[in-house]
Amino acid sequence: MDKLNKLTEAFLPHVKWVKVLEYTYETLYMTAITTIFVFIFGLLLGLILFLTNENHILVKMINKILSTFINIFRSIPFIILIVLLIPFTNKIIGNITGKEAALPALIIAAIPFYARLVEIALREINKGVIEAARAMGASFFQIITKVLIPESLPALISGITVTAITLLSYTAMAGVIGAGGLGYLAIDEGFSRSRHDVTLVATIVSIMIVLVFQSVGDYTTKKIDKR
Amino acid sequence: MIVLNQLSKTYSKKNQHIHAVENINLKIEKGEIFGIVGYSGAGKSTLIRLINLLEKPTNGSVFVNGQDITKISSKELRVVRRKIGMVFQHFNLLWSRTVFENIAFPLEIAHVSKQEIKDRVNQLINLVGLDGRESSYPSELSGGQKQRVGIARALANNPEVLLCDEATSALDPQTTDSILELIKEINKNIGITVVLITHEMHVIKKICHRVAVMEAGSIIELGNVLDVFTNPKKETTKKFIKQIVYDDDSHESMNHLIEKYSKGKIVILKYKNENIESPILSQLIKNNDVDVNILHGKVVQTSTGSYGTLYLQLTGNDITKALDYLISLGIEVEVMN
Ligand SMILES: Nc1ncnc2c1ncn2[C@@H]1O[C@H](COP(=O)(O)OP(=O)(O)OP(=O)(O)O)[C@@H](O)[C@H]1O
Ligand SMILES: [Mg+2]
Repeated sequence: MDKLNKLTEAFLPHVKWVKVLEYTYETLYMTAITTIFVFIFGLLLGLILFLTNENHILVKMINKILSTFINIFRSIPFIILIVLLIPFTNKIIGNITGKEAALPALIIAAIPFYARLVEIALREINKGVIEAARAMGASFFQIITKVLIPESLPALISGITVTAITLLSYTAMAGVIGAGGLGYLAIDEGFSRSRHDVTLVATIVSIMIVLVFQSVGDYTTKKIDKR
Repeated sequence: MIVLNQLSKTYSKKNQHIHAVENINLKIEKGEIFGIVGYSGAGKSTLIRLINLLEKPTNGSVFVNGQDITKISSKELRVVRRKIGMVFQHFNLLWSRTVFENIAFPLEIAHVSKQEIKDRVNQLINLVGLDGRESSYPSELSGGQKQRVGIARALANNPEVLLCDEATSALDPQTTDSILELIKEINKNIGITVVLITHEMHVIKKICHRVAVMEAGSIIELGNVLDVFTNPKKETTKKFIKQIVYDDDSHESMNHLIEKYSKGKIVILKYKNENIESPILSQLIKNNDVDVNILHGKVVQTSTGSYGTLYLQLTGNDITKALDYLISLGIEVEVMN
């Protein structure tokens, strides 16, 4: 520990490891919470998108409306979405700064993104398998839980990996509303005060998190993919 | 067992109407293996999918076991479907499940208890000859093995009907034979009614009791397999029957011949290139006191030469001598009775 302190003093004079740890925790907190929300609601929305893609006129209309909504939300740049959501955030979180304040924007930005990935994953499922389940007398709900989700699981997992990594970079932008995290560390504490060593450390930690996410995701996908 | 009453299915797209199935009336008896043959686009798949209502009919009704299933609720339909197994051309197994779990799938759907599932699945694995492969995934199986899983899965809930949509079309001839053998055995042992779709006449020949020939959404010919084979009425049927060569495994046809021509001996001669040219039949009659009646014959040209098969009825006093004479010419001789 002593050695580390000495090294830090020599090469990274402005880096305080306790602070780095704290901001890393904030980033992970924001990413984890949003990823969980996005997984649940994105999956739901993706399922609805997939299931409403039918030749039935009324059903098709629901699909079109949802699809349009998703496309609109996906085309709003994240930084603008945060600003647009300030009143909404204020209402449900109670304030507009701090790590919780970034959550609504993060969640709303990532759900449409993941929903599309879910829809693509579900479309990849062999139609024959769904038909076989219907022929066996499976109910609508059984088809979802026993066929659609298990058969697309590898793609759902790799999709959530991509989403989590995207969220990680979004949390950095959330720094502008004072959401904390590594982004805040790199920009406000580092770049703005010309403490480039801080920026460097924050970047390296971010990269390491991405690498860990990706390998965990890849490993899991590979493990469950029996095709 | 299954009665189709004025059944029609029309696919409509904009101003275009495709009559995939048109006014079909059909009665399939309990315990029979019923074959449906027809060219691509004839409406075979549509017809079989109408039987378990995977496709909703535009018109008409479907009776299974006396119950009109077009009139029941979707909940009741799901229960009826458990008693109608289905086997698919491309197997349609869940890749995320092992052999055991795939076969357990319809049982889980029917809310069968864990212990019962275990017993039943093991029994089925044994029935289809997949012992030892229960924990393999579909991707680790051959086509024939996958179809065995498909059949076991279709049989899991003890169905009364088995629907097979081109169940052997993705398999090589040898594997096809083993799968057909399995279906035949299951039909014999548990008396399940089988409806089987194919575009290969030899599948019909091999296991079906009755056959319907489909064209443009209608059944154009229907009858016992032997009657249809020996006395086809429609051009399409005749074309299909041409697929079949009287080869050494057509026992049904052979038995038919033996029954019909009971006098003397029925023999099959198999020639190769060299003896086809020489006038063996006239030599045979000149040198021996026999009469020869040609029942059936075929010469097949292949890329490496030709070979022929002749089905003869021999009568007279010198049959044994005549046979020895043929053998001495290097012809393969098989006496059938
Ligand atoms: N979902 C659909 N929408 C529109 N037309 C369809 C649909 N399904 C089948 N058809 C049409 O209905 C006709 C019969 O198709 P079907 O699949 O029953 O033929 P098939 O006899 O099973 O052919 P194959 O031997 O190629 O499987 C075809 O003209 C086909 O294009
Ligand atoms: Mg077909």
